[in-house]
Amino acid sequence: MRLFIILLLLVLPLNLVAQLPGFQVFTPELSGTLHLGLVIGEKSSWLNQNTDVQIKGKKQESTYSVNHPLLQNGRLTIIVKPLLDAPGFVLKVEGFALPDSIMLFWAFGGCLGDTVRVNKNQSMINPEYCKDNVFSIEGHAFTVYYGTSRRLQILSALTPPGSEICLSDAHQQVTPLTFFGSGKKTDAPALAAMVPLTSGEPVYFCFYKQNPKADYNYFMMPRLFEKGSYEVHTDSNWMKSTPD
Amino acid sequence: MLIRYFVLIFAAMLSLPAWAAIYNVKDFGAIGNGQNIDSPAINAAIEQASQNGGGTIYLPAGEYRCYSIRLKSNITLYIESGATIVAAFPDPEPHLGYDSPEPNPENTYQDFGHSHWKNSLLWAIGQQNITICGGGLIHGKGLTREESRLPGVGNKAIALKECHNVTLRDISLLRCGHFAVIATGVDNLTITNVRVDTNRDGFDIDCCRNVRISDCSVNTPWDDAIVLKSSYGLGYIKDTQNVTITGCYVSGFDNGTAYTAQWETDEPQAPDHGYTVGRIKFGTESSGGFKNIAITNCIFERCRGLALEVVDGGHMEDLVISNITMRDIVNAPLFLRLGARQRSPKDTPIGTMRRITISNINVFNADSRYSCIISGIPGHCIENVSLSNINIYFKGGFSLEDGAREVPENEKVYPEPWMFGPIPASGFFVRHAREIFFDNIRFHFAEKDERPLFIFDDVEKSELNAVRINGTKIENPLNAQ
Repeated sequence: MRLFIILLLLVLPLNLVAQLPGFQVFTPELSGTLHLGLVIGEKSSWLNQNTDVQIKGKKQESTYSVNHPLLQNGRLTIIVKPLLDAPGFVLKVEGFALPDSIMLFWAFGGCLGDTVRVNKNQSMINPEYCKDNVFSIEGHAFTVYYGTSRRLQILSALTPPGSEICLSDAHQQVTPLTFFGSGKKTDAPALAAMVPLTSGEPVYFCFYKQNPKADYNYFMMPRLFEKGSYEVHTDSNWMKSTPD
Repeated sequence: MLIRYFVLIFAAMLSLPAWAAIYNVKDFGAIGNGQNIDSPAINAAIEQASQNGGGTIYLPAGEYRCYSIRLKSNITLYIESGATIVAAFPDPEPHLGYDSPEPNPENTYQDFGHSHWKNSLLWAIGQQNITICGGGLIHGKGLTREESRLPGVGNKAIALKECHNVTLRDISLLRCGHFAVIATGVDNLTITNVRVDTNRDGFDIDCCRNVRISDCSVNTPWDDAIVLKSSYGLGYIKDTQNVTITGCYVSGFDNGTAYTAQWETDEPQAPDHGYTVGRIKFGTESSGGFKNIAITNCIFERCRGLALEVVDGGHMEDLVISNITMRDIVNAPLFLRLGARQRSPKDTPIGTMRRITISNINVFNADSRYSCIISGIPGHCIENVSLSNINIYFKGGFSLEDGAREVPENEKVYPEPWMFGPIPASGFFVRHAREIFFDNIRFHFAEKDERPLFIFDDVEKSELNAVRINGTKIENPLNAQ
């Protein structure tokens, strides 16, 4: 079964679309595809290949229990929740009985900024949507700029500590490792990184539109996941910047 | 023998003051192993030197992970070749991070980055006689170029406010967040032989008087390289004036690849989606003025063109810009804009632009969408601009229909050449202007361009002399294509 979840965070409640076939977001304000995989040594596989997935949906939360040959006798639990203070979601990945040296691979890209033209049934990052996506990588966080000069859109993301986040070529997604080593000489830039996984130690991803109530750091993730909110600022001390 | 012994002791005592004026940060606990947080040790050395009347803070080779370093008067920070100050990422769990941004009641008139100084890797407020020098590197790895306002986040490499007698010399700055250097209200500032390769602005010189910028290389593919501003960040108006920028190279190669001399060109786009930036610009913050400024002997490559902007009420006057060569320019090679954004205290009148001399400009492979633009707004002309010995190789490729397009005024819109859409002129679009003098202007077009060569709209007392297309002199440039 393919692990492919469409998150229409603004349009529909999360649980209504959990049964649909990566993690693709395409609302008027959010865009892009998060594609997960596994790496152990020289072997790598996308999670939508040879994967047995059990899906449980409940209000404002979807849980995926994942078995995969690279996990051997282990499994992953992936839980997705929407954010309360911004368009966006937080995703927890936790492994159990994992083999040594297993790595979670993630890829992100394909921010189109045009909901009409998005192919909602594609699990991979669509290279056609990647043109002019600009990624500002800061440690394990990044910001992607997409759209046009006059209708610029910005999406913020937090990812787990691991390898450096690399610019990669979305035309080369045969396996996670081919994607990871594909380099930035492309008209379809996307991101890739690997995260070490340890049994019982969850890792988090968060994709969101930054605003005074939604300004996050990775250390906030456990609470953000539990509560859906982690507010630090008040509106009064925040003013939106220009390109100055 | 005894006499010789006493002479030696006496000589050693004489030289003690010189030794004592150098403070090696390792004597204060810095380790420089790339793991330890060394800013407390460096700050202790600065504090000790300051209490003793000043001195040189010496960083020997090593990697010094740091949060905020607070510069003080009469301090020379000497970053030795092989030494790197690395901006650490904030670590909120043990509450480690940069100093908090100080309150600024005027922060609504300019961006967050322009309104605060303490949330920086190196900062000084109200200090004097500061030098940062040596062959070492300041690496802003843990600084953000984005908009996070979380406690502990830093967003500038060097931030100076209301200081005087400051010199930055021989250092390199890499990946520095919002600004590699922001100097606001700094007088007698010298920046020389500094290499910058950063992910947002290079040098922002804001409300400064008497500034020398020379022999610097600034690669900023995602934002402006050398920018003169005149914001309201100080809470009062202060013109940026008496500035020279000379012998500088600005560019837009892929982030970090100018510093490593790889000069990569795989990433053509900037976050604002107007292609690589990397230019010399005046503005956008322009509540105050720009006066008596000379830019000479500079090189632009793979970046946007020269932008002179007054949109917040300031007065730009007495500029000389000469001996500039540009290659691979992604938008208007010359963009002069007087607008009315007016991000200034209420009732600030619309600004002025006048007495600007631009000469000996050579441009190769410029994008033709926006040609060159000189545009004021209705009732507010750009005045007395002379352009001479201008030689531009445009890409061309536009049609007669493209030349019929109406250009919106967009008086309050953020100034960039794309604010007008594709321009209906192939050479210069001039509107709301007076006393604009063109002399010896040569155009070349790689592809035929059918748009009018010049469009003058609401232009008074202006002249065109010795205009050529592909070497042929044009008798009536205003009717030429």
